[in-house]
Amino acid sequence: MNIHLNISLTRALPFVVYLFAGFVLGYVNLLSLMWGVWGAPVTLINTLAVLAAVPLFASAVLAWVHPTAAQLLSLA
Amino acid sequence: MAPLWIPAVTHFVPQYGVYLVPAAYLVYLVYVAVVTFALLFPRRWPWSIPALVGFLALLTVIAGGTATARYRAGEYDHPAFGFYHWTPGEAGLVVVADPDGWIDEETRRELAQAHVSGTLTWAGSGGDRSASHRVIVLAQRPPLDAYPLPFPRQGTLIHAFDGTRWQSIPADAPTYSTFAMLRPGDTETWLEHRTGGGTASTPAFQW
Repeated sequence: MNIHLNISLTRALPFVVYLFAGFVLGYVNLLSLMWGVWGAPVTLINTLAVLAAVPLFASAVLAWVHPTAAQLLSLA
Repeated sequence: MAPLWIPAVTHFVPQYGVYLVPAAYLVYLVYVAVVTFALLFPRRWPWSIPALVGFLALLTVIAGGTATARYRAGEYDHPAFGFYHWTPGEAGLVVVADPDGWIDEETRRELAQAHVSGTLTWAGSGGDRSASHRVIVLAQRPPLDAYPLPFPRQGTLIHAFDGTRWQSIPADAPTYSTFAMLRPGDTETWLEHRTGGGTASTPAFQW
């Protein structure tokens, strides 16, 4: 039985890039936010930075359906 | 992605007491790489290149502005601290313990001009004695309230507490807006200062 995978580069590559970026950048910003436990000043933008990983994950999913929309969402 | 990369850029600018591992610098490159990727692939708009140039310019402006603000606030002139128990006396100044030699000739001269006399006994220190900026604190009794110790813009700034009031020596010494705090404790007085990554407290005086 032959299974043919027809994965377009224009959809797969953005998926991988946005998913990777969402994990890495979200994790780094989460660590930065948690420094508040030790008394570091925490601003609203630190919290927004962690939440901003969500649109990146959404972009990764959207890249399979509409790559251009995923591009715009990731830049938002 | 703006909320993601703006804190990263400001975090990238050096801060006192914050040491970034090399891998952290690579992580910050991910921001630029992802924005560049999203502007150019799979679709490249007519405004993609101008937007990329504007993004890089904005990064530079934010990093430069953050570095300038930190420089002006004294972030890069963090002083060393020396603490001395001060027993008042009639005349003259006697230093009975000063292992690192914080009370040098210039400091003695300034203390004499401010009519500080008695005996100074080393209580502790934080930072390198040979630092270009130094703060020396003399105290006769435990301060009951928190007291700010602004960073001197140059040389040595002395704070003397006679039990009721504080005196800065020299009185008109220029200082930065950044400061450390002396905070009263049960049997100690604590030095508290921000390190960029948090607040550090070290014992200044044991009473």
